Amino acid sequence: MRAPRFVAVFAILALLAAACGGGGGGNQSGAASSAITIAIGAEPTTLDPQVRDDGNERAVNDNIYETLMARDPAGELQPGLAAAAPTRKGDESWEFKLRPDVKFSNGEAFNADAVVASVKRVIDPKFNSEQASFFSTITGATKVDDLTVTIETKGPDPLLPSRMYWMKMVPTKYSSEAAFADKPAGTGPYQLKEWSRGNQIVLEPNPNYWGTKPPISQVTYKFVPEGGARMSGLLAGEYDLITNLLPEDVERAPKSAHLQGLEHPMIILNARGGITQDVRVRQALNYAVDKQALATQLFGGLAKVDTCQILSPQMFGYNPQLQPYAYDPAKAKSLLQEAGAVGKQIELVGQTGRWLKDAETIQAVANFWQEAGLKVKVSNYDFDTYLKHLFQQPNRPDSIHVSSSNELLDADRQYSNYYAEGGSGTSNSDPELKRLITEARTNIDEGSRLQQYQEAGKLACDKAYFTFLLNNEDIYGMSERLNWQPRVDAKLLVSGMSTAQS
Amino acid sequence: MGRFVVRRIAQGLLVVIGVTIMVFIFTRMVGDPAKTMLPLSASPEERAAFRHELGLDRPITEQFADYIGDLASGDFGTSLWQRRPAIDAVLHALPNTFQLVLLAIAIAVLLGVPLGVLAALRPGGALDRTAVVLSLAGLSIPQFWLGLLLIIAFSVTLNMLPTAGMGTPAHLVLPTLTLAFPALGRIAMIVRSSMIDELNQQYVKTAKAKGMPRARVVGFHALRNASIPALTLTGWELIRALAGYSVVVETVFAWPGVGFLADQALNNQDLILLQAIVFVVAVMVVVINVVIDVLYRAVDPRIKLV
Repeated sequence: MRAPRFVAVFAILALLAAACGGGGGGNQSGAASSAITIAIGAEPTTLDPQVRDDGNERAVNDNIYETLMARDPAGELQPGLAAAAPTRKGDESWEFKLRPDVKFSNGEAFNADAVVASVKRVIDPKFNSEQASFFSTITGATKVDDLTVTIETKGPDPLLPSRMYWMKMVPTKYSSEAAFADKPAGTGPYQLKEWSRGNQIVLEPNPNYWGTKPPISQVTYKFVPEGGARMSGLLAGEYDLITNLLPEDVERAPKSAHLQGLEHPMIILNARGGITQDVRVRQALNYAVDKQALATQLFGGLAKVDTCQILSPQMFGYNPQLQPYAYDPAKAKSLLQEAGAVGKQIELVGQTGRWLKDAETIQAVANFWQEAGLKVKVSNYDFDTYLKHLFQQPNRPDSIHVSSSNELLDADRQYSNYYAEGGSGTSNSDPELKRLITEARTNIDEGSRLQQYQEAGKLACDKAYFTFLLNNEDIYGMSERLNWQPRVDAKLLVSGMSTAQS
Repeated sequence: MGRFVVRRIAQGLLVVIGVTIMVFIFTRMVGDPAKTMLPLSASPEERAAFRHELGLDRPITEQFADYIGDLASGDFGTSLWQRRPAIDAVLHALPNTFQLVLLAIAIAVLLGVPLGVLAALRPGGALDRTAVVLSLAGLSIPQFWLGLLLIIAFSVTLNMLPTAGMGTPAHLVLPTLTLAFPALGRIAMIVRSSMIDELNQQYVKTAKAKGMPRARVVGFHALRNASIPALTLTGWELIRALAGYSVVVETVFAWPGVGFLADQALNNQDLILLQAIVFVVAVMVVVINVVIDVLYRAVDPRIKLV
C-alpha cells in the first residue's frame, strides 16, 4: 500500500471515531430539568445499609433509608423516624416512640417490630457488620407496642441517641432475603430505579414517602475513582456534584461550596517515652508550627486552626475556652533548649493518599520542627503498614500523623480512641485523663458529662499530648444549576438539593 | 500438535497453581482486612472479632488446607469486600477488560505493522523518523498522564467524548487509545527492525530480480519472515495489557474491568478477591501463551513444536 493511501485510511478511521463520539460527550443531565448526576469515588459493593462502613454506600443509601434520630444541616440532633427524642427508662434502657403511618417502599410497615429486627440484625456477631463498633454498647431491643420500642444497653449509655442517628432501619421480613443487598427498600424520600453494576445507580422519588416530596426528580450516581477525571467531568458538564474538590481547583469549578467539616488532621505525640516524653518538648512541637500558614498555603484558606482540641464546635464535648498554641518559634527553641533536646532526632510517621494534603502536611510540619532545632526523620508508609504503627501498643512512635473524624458528633469515640489510655491510638498514660473519659462514657447527666469532656480537652491541651493542627473544610464542586448547602455531617441528602429549574 | 498443546497446558497449570500459592502466602503475610475495612475508631477487640468471623485468626496451615480444598471444588470463596462470591465479581469484570484490551491490541497491530513496514521501506526517511519519534513517545509517556491528557483535550476542551465510565461506543475511544498507544509504538519498532533485516537478505534481491511485484515481495515474503518477533511481542503486549496496564487505564477512566477490580481489592485488603483475580488472570496468560506458540507454526512451518 502506498503511503498516501495508508494515511487516508488512518484519517478516515480517526474521523469515524470522532463522529461516533460526537453524540457521547456533553451535558447528559440537561434533558430532564430536575435530574442530576453525582460522581462518587467508588461503586458501593452492596446496598444493604447495615453491612459496610463505606462512604460511597452511604452516599446512595442516606437517601433510601432513614434512622430513628436525624440531624439538621447544622448538626443538631432531632427526631427522624422517631416521633420525639427518646426518654430514659432506668439506667440501661431508652424508650422511643415511633412516627405513625410510615411504610417501607416494598409495602412492609415501619413499626416496633422493624426497629427490633434492625437492631438485632446489625449487632449480631454472625452478621459481622463493619458498623458494629458504632453500636458496641447496644445489647438488644424490645417491642412495647406497635409504636413504642425500648433499646437496651450494657451500662448507662448517654451516646445512645447519637448511635440511633447512625443505625439505618430495615424491613423486618425482606431484610433476610438475598435480594435485599441488590434491591434496597427503605422509608426514605428516594427509592432505587436502576443499578447497572459497573456503570451507574439511578434513584427516583419514593411515591409512598411520609414526608415532603423532594424537588429533584431523578439522581444518577457515577463511580469515578480518579480525582482528575471527576474534575474533568464537572468541567465538561457531565456531573452536577463532586466531593473532595481540591482547594486549588475551586476557582475552575463552575460553582463550589465549602463548609467546616468533621476532619481534624493532627499529630499524636508519644508521652510514654523517647524524645517526646518531656512535656516541654511536646509544647515546643506545638509552638513551632505555623498553623495559619498551613491553612493558607496548603488548603487555600479553606481550613481553620484547631483550638487545641480535635473536636468541631458542633460536637458534644467541645470546650469553647481553649485557645490554640500560638506560632512562636522563639519559644519553641527555648523550650527545646531547656529540655536539652536540641539537635536530637524525632521520627514522624505518616502515609500518603488517604487524606487531603496528608503528605504535604507532614512535610511542612517536619520542616517547622527542623527550624526549631530538631532532626526530623519522616517515615512514609503504605496505608496498611501505617495502620500497624498507628495501632501498635504499648510502644508508640515518637509522633504519628492522623486525620481524626467523628461520625457521631460526640467526643466519646475520638477521646476513647486517642486520648484515654487503652485506646488503640493513644500515646499517653495519663491517669486523670483516662478517668475523666471513662467516667464520661457512662455519665447520663448531660451537664456533668459535658464538663468532664471539656476538662479532658483542657488537660490534653496543657500537657500537649498532640500537635494540634487544623479543621479542614469539606469542599464540593457543583454545576451552575445545582442549589445546595452542604451539611456539617457531610451527608449527601438529595432531598436538600434543587436545580435552578425545579 | 495435539500432544504439544496438552503438554503446554499441563505446564501452564503448574504455573497457575504456583502463582496462586504465592499470592495466598503474600496476602496473608502483608494484609489485614480488619484494619482497612473497619472505621479507624474501632477498638482492638472489635477488630479481633471481625477477623475471627472471617476465619483469619486460624493457623495458616488450616487456612491453606481449606483454600486448596475449596479450589479443587471450584469454590473461590466470598469476597470480603463485596460480600458476594469472588468468582462472580471477577467473571463479571473480565469481559469488560477483554473488550478494552483486545480492541487496543488490535488497533496497535493494525496500525503498528503497516507503520513499521512503511518505515522500513525507506530507513532514515520522513515517515521513518516520524515512526521512531511516535514509538519513543509511546514508550516514555506514562499511561495515566496520557489518559488524563486525552480527557482534558477531548472531553473537557473539545467536549467530543465522555470523560469516564462505560456504556456507549464513545466511552470506548479514549481508554482504548491510551492502552494502544505504547503497544503501537513497540510493535511498529519491532516490525521496522525485523523488516530492515529481511529486506537486506539475499532472497529479496533474487525475488526482485525475478520480476516479482514489489508488494508481494514486501507484503508476503519479507513480512512473513519478519513476523515471528512481532508475534512474540504482540502476545507479550496482550499479556501486559491484561495483567498490568489495565489497572492504570481502567482506574483513570473508571472502566469496570479486572484491573479496576484488582486496584479496589488491594485497597480494601480483600485477600479472597485478590486470589480469585490472580488465578483467573494467570489462566488467561497461560492460554494466550499456548495460542501464540501454535500460531508460530502457522506462520513458519519450519518451527518444530516441542
